[in-house]
Amino acid sequence: MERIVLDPTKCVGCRVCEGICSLVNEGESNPVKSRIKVVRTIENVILYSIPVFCQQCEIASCEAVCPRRAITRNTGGVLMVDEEKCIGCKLCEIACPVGAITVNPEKRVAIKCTQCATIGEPQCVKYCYPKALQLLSAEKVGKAKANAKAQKFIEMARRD
Amino acid sequence: MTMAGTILRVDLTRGSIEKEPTSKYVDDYIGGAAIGTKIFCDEVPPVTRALDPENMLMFNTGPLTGTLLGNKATIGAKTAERANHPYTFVGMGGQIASEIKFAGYDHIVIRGRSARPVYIYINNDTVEIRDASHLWGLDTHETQYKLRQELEDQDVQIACIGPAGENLVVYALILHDLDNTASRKVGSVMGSKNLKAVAVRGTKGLKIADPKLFLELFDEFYQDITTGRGSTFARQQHQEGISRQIAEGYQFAYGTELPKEIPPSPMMDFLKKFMVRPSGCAFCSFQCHQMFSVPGVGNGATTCVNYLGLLFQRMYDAHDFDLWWERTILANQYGIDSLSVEMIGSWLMELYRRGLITEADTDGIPMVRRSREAIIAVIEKIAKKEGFGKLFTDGIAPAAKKIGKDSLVYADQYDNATPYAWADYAPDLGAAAQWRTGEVERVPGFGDAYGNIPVFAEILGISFEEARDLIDSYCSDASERITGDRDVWKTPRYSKNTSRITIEKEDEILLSDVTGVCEARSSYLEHYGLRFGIDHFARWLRAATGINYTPERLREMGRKLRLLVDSYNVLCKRAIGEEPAVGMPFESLTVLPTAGRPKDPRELKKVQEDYCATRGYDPATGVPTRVALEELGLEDIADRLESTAAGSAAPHAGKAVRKTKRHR
Repeated sequence: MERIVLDPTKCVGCRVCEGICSLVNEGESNPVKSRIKVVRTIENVILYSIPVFCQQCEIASCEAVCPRRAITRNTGGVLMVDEEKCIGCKLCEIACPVGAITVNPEKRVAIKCTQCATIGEPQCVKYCYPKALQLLSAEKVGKAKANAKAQKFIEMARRD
Repeated sequence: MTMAGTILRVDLTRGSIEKEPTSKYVDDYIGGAAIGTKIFCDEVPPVTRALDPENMLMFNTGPLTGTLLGNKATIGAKTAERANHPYTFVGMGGQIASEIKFAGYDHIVIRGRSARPVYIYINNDTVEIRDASHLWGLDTHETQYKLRQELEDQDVQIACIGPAGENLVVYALILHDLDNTASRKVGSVMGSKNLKAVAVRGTKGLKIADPKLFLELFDEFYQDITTGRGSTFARQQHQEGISRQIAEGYQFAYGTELPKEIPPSPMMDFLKKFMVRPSGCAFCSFQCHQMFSVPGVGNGATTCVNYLGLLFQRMYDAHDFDLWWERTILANQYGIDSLSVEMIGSWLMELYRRGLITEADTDGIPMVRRSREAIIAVIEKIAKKEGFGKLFTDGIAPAAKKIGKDSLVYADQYDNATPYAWADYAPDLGAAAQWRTGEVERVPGFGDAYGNIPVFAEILGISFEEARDLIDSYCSDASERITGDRDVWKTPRYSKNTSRITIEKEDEILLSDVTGVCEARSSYLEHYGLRFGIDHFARWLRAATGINYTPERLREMGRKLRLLVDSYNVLCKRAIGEEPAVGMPFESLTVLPTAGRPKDPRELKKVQEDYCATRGYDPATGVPTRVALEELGLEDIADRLESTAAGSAAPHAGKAVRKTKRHR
């Protein structure tokens, strides 16, 4: 199963992910309708930016709380909102621990990241120039980080 | 259709808010700076001065602003002190240009003067003029921070002035976000209206007419900058900001030999040590700004480190980059154009060196090159309008008059215009022809192409000779594209094709102002291999708006905008009893230390005549001709020009010079 994985040190706050997401999913340029949202904060004249998007929780609060059972998993394990069933009650928005699902007032239904299920390839990953967003096997993420850290120790040892 | 649909008008004298549909201008003026200029020309009397309440301050977005292919607004106003271009416009990107569209507006037109300090708050349909007395006096970052706190919204986008704009210093700018600025003197216009900030929040979207095609076009752009010809430029921006040194590149670019070794670079060391991350404008992959955090000096962002750092080194003969950074963030905080101030500082140092001034003239501070005290004092005193800084509130020419002693000769500038910051770019013959009509806004030539040789060599892992050949090929491709002749770009001698290159590039840059596309995505950077232009703009516009724009239509619009601006500026000069100064005197061009400069005044004259003939100007007067204006549907302004011409029935119509008092 592949998931979108964030390397927060690489995000530069360009918001291309927001632009491409709303374009392919809604046919609009509209950050509000993007399913990935870049949180930008400026502190002491430095910009900090982190994209927030659905983590496709293994135990999903949104799925559990939906009174219409409008949220189910597809074959890739991605949580999908059935827009026909959704009544826009916003309980999922309240329950989500990361703020990745929102009820869009214009559409009147909940929208969330589907990893671009209809296209087959998450477009935000494709167009993230600094590679802050990557598509990785969920199992591999932890191991990749462990390897990277271990490599540093190996380099130190080599110097001795 | 990606236009928001509404023009927002705010009158600060009456405290009124009005809205009108953009649609009435779109057929004839498409968008952006063109619609803004049309409104300005129709509604602002030419006699209006920069700091008069009747002056307009406009934020003009284009049809592509707020999409993946555009993110720019152009800010237009009558500004003080420009020789031939009292009415001008300047780009500002960041986040705010797109946010204005998301709030539902294509243009914000601000007029009048508030009796007390205010800011304009825009949240979708809600538009309010609010008290800003608690913000007056704050620097540009403090203002944004405080407003975001009190509005309880981190996503509200703010453009504001600092103390320099409040003090009506002519070099004041409007600043947004970390370091997105609108310079060209618009900061003092905003200050004259007692307007501290414009705060915008928008949540409406822009419907793309053909989303599938738009995605393909964006993909084409993205592929080019990741794996295509544009990728070298993109990588340059993302490799610690600027890779191998354009500074050294400029040094040898106009010489005859390539250096065997790269000399050490204090700029490169500074970049490696202190750069935090790239930053930039909304929806753009380039992120061509760089954030720096320097212990003991401060944080912030800037762009064009290569160019600005180089100028700093040249102007001040100073190579301490911590000092360069200190002056950079200070200038941003005060909201003043660091380049203009730097040129004034350098001028004062030259006068001091020649004994024309002493430290008594500069508050006891010796104006010595490399002096930190002098470099910082120049920024602070001018921005705060203190001490000797007061001399420069209205610009260089009035200051030179007060100093006397032929001091203006050493200022390296033209008429009363700000020392032309880009004067160091090689003005090839074509670009020099631009100056026939006093146009010094941007220099769209290939002159600085060779400055990129070391950058290309390092990024691509090739030799200097190979890098030069590659750049040669990009420039030759461009030359061929525009004129059919691969070699015309590099010859300093007259060719009938020289002016065609200048005109095409001018049009592309103007069209970037009309469409809302950053000029980096035009032929501005063609010598970097980055090539998007009028043909692309037409495709992008069609996919975004659903309107069948063609390259021919766009080229015509570029020409129309240019002639409209210049005609209106002629009216402005006449309204104060002057004729436009005709071109830069040839002698001034020779002070520019670049090899591409024209060597023979007769060759320059021939290019100028070609340029004027193609563009539609009278070469003797620099005034647009009636024939050219009528071809473009500008009969109205042709009539106005005719009725104010010398020897006409009413030669000084609109001349009445109104005395203005600067209220505080």
